Amino acid sequence: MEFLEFRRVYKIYNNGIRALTNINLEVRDGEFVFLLGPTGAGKSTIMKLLIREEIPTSGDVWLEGFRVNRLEDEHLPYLRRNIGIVFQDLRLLPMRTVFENLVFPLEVMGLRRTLMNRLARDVLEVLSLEEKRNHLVEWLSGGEKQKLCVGRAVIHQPKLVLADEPTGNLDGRSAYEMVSGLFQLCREGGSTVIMATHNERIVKTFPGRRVYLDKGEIVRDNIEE
Amino acid sequence: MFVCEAFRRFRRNPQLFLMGFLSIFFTQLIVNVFIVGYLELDKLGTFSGEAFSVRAYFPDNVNMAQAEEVVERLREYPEIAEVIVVSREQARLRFLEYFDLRDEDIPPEENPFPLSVEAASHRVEDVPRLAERMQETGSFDEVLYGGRNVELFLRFYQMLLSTGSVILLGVFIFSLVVITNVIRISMQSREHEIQVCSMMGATERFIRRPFLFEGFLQGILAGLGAFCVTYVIADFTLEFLISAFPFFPWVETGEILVPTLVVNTAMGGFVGFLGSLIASNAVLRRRKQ
Ligand SMILES: Nc1ncnc2c1ncn2[C@@H]1O[C@H](COP(=O)(O)OP(=O)(O)O)[C@@H](O)[C@H]1O
Ligand SMILES: [Mg+2]
Repeated sequence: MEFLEFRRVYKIYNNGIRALTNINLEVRDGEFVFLLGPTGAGKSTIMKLLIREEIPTSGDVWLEGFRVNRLEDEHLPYLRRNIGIVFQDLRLLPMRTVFENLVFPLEVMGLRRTLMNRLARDVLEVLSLEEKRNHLVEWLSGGEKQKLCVGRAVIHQPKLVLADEPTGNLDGRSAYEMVSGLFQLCREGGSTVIMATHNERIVKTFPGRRVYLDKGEIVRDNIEE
Repeated sequence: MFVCEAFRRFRRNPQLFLMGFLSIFFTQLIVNVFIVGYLELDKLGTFSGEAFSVRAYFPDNVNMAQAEEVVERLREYPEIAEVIVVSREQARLRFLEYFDLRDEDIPPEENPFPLSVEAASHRVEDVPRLAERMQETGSFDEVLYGGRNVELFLRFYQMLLSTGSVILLGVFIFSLVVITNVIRISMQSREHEIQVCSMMGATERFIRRPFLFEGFLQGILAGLGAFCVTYVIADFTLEFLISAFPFFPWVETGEILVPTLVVNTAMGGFVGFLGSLIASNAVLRRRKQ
């Protein structure tokens, strides 16, 4: 069994929209996958199924040998701690500082303050947000928020990183840097990364597997190519 | 850390905090009225005045030595705080003094008073039982106690306790309902944050903790507030009462200090905590569906 598997997954939302139709997908440990497709193709839904924000209407989602859609509620937090996620809608906490948002996944795990400070220092440096450490998140620009989101997704060095449109608010150059950063994380940190984007242009120059989604179905997967 | 967080919450939504605070504050004030009332009655009950003692008369043929023997037995009763023999001569002298009579009005040879004992109990509610037990010994012709006074007092005492406990229960439920809803609104207004917490892998305990603390803090603060206000009012009022009616056994401010402080903070904190627990359970259960 692979690190991550979708087996005959269907997702129909309560309003009757068929977001995913018969999705079969296998991702190896340490792989970098671009999830491509137009808006509304079902990319975010795939992410949501992986952290069980939603459950599939039928079929199974496996992660590291655990069936995510059948996991006991009390084990769910521990699954999520192994996943870093950049939400398409960011989901930062507006009344809190950059630092507080960044270390949120660590706080949730109950890490010690000193360790949080050390990890945060490194990440802030990479994102060049050191000076804004104690700024409230609402004061940040769209791009800075986006970077912070990515920082929050990787600070606890999760095995799986899900990045849902992480370049949405970034200009070309920052977007390129962001994707390179994620690539580096995959190569050097050994994380598996799934990055969803509707903007194929941004990822053109990068190698890696591309899974194309359209109207809830996988239409192309260059794994063999 | 927690205090910081609670303060931040207060700043974000002071009305909500105030609502929870006030509901507990006022209910604790009501509680304090009962505490003071109870302490006052308690004091009245232990106030060993004439009205609460039992007097028992021996038949004419009993002499002093026999009377002392009976008293010796009575001393072993747990209800009895104090018991003395009143000789015929003492009774006569008391009577003379009480009515301001001269010695020759009732000469000793014509002393009509029988030998008697006077017993006092620790607590007023023991008086009727004590009288009954003394009657049962068969040593006495007649056993008297300040019957109506004692019974009225006891009836009042019991009434206060029973209505008091009903009202207190109502007050408790009221503040619990308010605080539960306050915390529920507080949680709902932070739905987004709870959602993020949960997606980052927070356990339910972690999510719930700040809200429990928030409720608990509100309760404790409100309890302390009620205590302070009670203290100030009681100090003022009791001082006035003591100077106005100095012979009445008023409770002193010092005596209500500890009970009100303990009850207010404990009950306030408990209600706050319980309310948050109920609210967080409800909200988290709804989220799962
Ligand atoms: N919570 C939801 N309830 C109902 N419909 C939804 C919900 N989320 C997404 N959808 C619908 O499912 C489809 C796929 O959405 P999504 O996975 O967000 O696509 P993408 O991320 O590729 O743009 C869309 O048609 C969208 O309107
Ligand atoms: Mg999307």
